[in-house]
Amino acid sequence: MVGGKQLENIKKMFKEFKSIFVSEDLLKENEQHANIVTAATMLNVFWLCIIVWILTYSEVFKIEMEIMNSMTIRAFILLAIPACICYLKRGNGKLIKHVLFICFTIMMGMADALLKYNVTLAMVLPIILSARYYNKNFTLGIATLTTIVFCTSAFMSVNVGQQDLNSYNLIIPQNTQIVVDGTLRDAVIEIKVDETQRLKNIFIHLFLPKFFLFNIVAFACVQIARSGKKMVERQKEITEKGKRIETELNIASLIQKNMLPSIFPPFPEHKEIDLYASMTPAKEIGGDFYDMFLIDDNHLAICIADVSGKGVPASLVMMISKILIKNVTLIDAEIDTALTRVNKMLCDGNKTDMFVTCWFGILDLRDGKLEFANAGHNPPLIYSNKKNSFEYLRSKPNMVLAGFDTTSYIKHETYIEPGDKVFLYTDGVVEATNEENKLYGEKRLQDFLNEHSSLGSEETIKTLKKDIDKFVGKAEQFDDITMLELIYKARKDDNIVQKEFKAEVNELSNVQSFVETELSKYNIANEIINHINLAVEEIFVNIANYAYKDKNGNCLLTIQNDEDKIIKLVFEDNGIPFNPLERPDPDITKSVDEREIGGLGIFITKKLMDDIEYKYEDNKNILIITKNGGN
Amino acid sequence: MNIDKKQIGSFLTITIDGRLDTNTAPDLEKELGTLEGIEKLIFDVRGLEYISSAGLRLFLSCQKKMNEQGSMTIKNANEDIKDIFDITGFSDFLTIE
Repeated sequence: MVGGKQLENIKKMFKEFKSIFVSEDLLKENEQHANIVTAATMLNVFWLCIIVWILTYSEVFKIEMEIMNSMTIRAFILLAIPACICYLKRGNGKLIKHVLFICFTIMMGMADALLKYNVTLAMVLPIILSARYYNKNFTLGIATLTTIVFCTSAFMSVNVGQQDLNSYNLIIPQNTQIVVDGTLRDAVIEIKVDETQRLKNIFIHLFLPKFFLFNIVAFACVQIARSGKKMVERQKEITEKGKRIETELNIASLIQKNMLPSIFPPFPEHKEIDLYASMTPAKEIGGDFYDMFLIDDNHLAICIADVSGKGVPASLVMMISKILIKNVTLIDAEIDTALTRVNKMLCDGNKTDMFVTCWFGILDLRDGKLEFANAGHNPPLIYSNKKNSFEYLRSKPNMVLAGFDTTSYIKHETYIEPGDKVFLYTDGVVEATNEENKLYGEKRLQDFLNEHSSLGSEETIKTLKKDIDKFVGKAEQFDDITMLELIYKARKDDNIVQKEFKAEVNELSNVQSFVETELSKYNIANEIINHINLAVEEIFVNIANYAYKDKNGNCLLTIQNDEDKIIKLVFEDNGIPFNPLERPDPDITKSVDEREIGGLGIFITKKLMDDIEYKYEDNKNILIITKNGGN
Repeated sequence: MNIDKKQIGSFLTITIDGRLDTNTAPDLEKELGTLEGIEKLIFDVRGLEYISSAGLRLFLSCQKKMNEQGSMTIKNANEDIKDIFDITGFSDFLTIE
């Protein structure tokens, strides 16, 4: 057992000893930097040596040239070369530090031996540099090495290098005469003295004081190493904590993103609506949200909201609000009572002063009736297809949600028509600020939407976001930017079908049978179907022959039939912009000789259809013919 | 579209059956040829269900030609076809029976 304990002790000692040679992971990077610092210092000492050599050569310093030469060569071998190797390896390598310090310490020892009192500070350089490694054991090792080297050099340098005259404790009898042949210094040195006495002098008066001071420096360096290590460890802890928080924020951001409807179109079976929304948070997670859900097959709810504040606190309130609004509304489909209840629930237990602004609407898809309530939110923009313009829908807002639990919300009502749009947004849009502290503003938003009123909801929101980003420029986004657009394309029970055809004349029979098949489903009289197909021929053949010149292209035909049997056919192509309505009608009163051949097709169409309209939007020719299928 | 051609001397009768539209008009045009030496041209359109501007253009160019060398008549047009002729003013210069 005794042997066992001894073995354990030896193992422990070896481990400690090993830690001088095997750097812990924690300090590896630190060690690389420290190696570079050490190499730099060694190189500086080497340059200093060169400078001193030059000064000695030009006789500014009174040192023997021999000694200086020897110093410089040793400095080159023991300082410059190891330092360069270290630079080449960029401070990497387990043994670099030991090579550097052994060479450095030995060099300092030699310097002390050769130049003695001129290089008093040399002794402490290695140990001070060792503190940079923040490794107590390493510093102790260097302290030991320095002690050994200096004792050795003190001993071996008794008779080499520059001589320190202080070591000659001269006891000369009074009135002795000294003859100076060369220098006074040489003369003194040649005086015979007691060598043991001299050794004792060197040791006691020259070596010991320096050694005591060295020990004090060593002690300080050990303390530096220890506290440095503590600092590095704490830094590592903080970095790891920061990384963990960052990871958690990223996950929270994903959770939040998944909570908002992000699959578009959200209700593909409802072809009568075009719906798109986006939320861009200012930080990793935001406090804005939007929502869209079907209460039943005939009622669509859309909602946009803004929680006061940003970041984690706002996002928590945002999640609760969104879930409450949807779930309460699904049970109690009246906007006013639903919001009033949600508000009470949010106020319950709301110890922070956070609140939520919200605009909430329910659209009856059958007739376009839009009921809505406004809890302190920005007024939405409504696009009227008839007037071809976006206007702000202003109503007296109620108090924000989660403000007072006694707030009761008022239901407002308006009607929208097929072709109309509803645009919802949050503060982050109108209050987006550029570097000159100018706001994007309500007017700019309205103007932008009016200029781009022919785009679909996804295009509108994406291009608007780009416009806001362009406006903001290099300034930081300081608020969440959220937008939602709903296009009410047709009343729900109106019928819409769509088909794409190659714009080729031989496709005509396919187009016409498509039209015939669809229209006969709605019990439209044959005569009317025939007239419509005549118009279809004229228009389609025109597109097939001229829209794409020699290239291939398609024509998209949409057939829409509403409850009143008003039939609309829309022809769309991406060909050369051409308005067939611009051609003047042929003069049908002209005699046969004067009659021209052209223009007949469109003329027939105009005569047979109730209405014909052309527009060029989104790089498309759009021709719309309307016929009342009821008469 | 079915085209039946009966020629006796300078008397040509074309019976058209079906639809006269952009795709079928070139066939009729081929059948008519240059109308060289024809003095009387009759179109029997009893079976014609549908005519579009392509067909109208063809009738117009035939009428112009026949005005120089003879006469042209369109027979047995149904109500729908007559409607189209009226709307486009073709009934003013076509001889329709």
